[in-house]
Amino acid sequence: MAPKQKITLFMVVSGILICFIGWIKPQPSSSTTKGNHFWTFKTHSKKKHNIVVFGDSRIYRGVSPSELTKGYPNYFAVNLGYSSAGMDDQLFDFIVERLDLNNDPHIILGITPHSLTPKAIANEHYIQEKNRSAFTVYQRMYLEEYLAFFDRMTTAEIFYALFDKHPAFQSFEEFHEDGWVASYILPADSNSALENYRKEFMDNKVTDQSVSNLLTRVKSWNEKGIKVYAFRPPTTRAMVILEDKLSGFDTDKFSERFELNGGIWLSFDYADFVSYDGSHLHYDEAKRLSRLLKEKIFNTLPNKSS
Amino acid sequence: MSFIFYGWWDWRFLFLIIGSGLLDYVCGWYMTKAPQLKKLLLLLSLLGNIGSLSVFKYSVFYADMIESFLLLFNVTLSLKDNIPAFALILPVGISFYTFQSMSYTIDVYKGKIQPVKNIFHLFSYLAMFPQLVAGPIVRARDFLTQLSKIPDSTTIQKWHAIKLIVFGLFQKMVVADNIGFMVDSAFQNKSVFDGSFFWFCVVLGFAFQIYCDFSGYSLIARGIAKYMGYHFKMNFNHPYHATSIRDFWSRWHISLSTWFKDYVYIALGGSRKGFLWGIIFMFITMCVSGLWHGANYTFIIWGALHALFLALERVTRWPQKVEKIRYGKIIGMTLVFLQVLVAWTYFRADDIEQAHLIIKKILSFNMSFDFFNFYFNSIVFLLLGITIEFSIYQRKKHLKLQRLYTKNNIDVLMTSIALVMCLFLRGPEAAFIYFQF
Repeated sequence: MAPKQKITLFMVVSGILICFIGWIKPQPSSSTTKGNHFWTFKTHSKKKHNIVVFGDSRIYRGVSPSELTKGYPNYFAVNLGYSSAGMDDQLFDFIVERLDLNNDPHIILGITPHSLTPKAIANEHYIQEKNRSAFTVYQRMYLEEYLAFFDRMTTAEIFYALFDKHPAFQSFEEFHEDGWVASYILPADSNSALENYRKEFMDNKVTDQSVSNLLTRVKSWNEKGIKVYAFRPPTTRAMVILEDKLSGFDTDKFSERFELNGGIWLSFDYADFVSYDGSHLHYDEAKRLSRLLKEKIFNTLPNKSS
Repeated sequence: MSFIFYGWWDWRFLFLIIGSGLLDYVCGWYMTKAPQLKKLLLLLSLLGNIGSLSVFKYSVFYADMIESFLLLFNVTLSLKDNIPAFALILPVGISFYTFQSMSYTIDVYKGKIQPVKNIFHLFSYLAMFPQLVAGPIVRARDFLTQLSKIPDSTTIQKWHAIKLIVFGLFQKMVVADNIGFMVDSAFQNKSVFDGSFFWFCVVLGFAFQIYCDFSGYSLIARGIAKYMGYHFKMNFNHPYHATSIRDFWSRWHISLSTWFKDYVYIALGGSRKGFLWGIIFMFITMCVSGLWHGANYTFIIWGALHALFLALERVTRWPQKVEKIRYGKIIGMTLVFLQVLVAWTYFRADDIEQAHLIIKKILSFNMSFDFFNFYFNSIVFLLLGITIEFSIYQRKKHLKLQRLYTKNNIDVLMTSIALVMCLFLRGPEAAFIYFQF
């Protein structure tokens, strides 16, 4: 065959194979392209909501806004959690920007001890997303979704799909437009995050300055008519003990000061939830937590249902 | 165009490559105009190139070495902290283009080539974008002649170019990057597995990761050049088929190994000054080659180990003896591969202690296969890499297989499959390993 015909044949065969494989391939357990779109959309979207949930990874993996507002069609919630996010002015300004101030605005804060430490307040993940070039933002906002067709798959995923088996090891992530990441890891190990947190708190403790700064903001939001709720995201009992011991965070004292500044503190039974890694909630547990949050929040607001 | 490509990364470092080119252009030009100054001009060129390489690549290493040495005499000196910030950035491709630049002036000095009249030809040679960041190191005498005529590429060349690019991408994105997940997590101490067999697979994985990563880049560079009508020589020729370490070095990173052979080993005296001197020169050459890869003792040990294995070969002549026995070729290949694996352990390790520990773990024969499930994907691609190399070895031996590949458009189908695998079975995104060198 002549080289010109070979090139044509190569293009035709490749095109057919790409369409066919792209169509039949199994869904990846975590899509990079969808992840890229998710973070860029979360950071650069201009859409306003009347409920903003904010916190670190325990929040963006642990609270589903759609579950939170199910049955309340007048409420539009978004989860603005970031990895290792800290309670800092830059992020406070960002969440207010995304809040519809004319439509009964609510802020729900997930307060982990880590979110009040200097390392968290650096907000590296948020800043990284915020500082992406205009080209990258455009690409990830509008094109990346379509590139999901070319998402990579692993041989393990093919194997499990072909033989209809459950994988022994898997890191599952499903990105939702409302800012929630439904996730789990197999095999689950409710102690795996403990060591990292132990190291993390060695030279990184909760500071009075970050607590005071947050409370000042809560007071000012409250004065502007924004309802502010906070809770300590449920995790394992072992993690709570470790955080209480090493971080310098006292939940009772904090909640008391929080309420004195006009906020509403929501309590949960930490041991009642199951974590896959000792820090984050399995997506079923995240949905359950969101429903519990809904009950607690909407119970404080008379006549707010549809 | 090549300068735009390079400037895209950091335009400030364009001055460095332009400076290097200008220096060598002037030195080369004056070598013919003022032959009495030839040696001085060569020295100037070498100082300029090695100087810039030293500042940008080795300043921290030298400072660290001096600080440690002075500490032996209880003298505390803070050199590392005083290195200017710009010298801490490694300009992409500096190790490659400075070597190309030096080979130009050395060849002009030796009278092997005439100095270029058109400075843009020299810049095109230095900054040719497909190979600028990670080689292959092209020789001035091979490339400058190609620049003297307008490049032309026939359809058959274009088809070969497409195949080179696709198979290069396949080696890098599919094989190297998928294996890289296991190798990188193990060397970064992120893995929970610790058995002998696990570490053996990790080192074996690294051998295929670095080969497919670098060979993949070289194939892509050759493919792009071929498509434009230029020809770059082969940089890898199935190195793990080697039956002696000497043979390995004639197949691995050929453009660098021949550069060191021609401009360091032979320049020092080669084997002309006797057996012992030959071995000493070889040790020097291999250690410098190790240091070229990076400012770390692990690279020097990697080079020294290869020199040791080469010396053992020269003294015992074991490859020739082994080749004569039954299955000698396979035994030779296995022995060479095991030696290469030991050296790769030092090359990849963060420090010498980590390399020692890994070798100790491998030799403890603590067999456990519990990592298979977790690294299933990496293991599959490691096996694929081994299978491909083995099938190429078989294809070279059997004429029937060779014919089958060229007939019936098998090459078209295989190139298409490779492309589809690049799209859907690519590994986690990772930079080319040789970019850091």
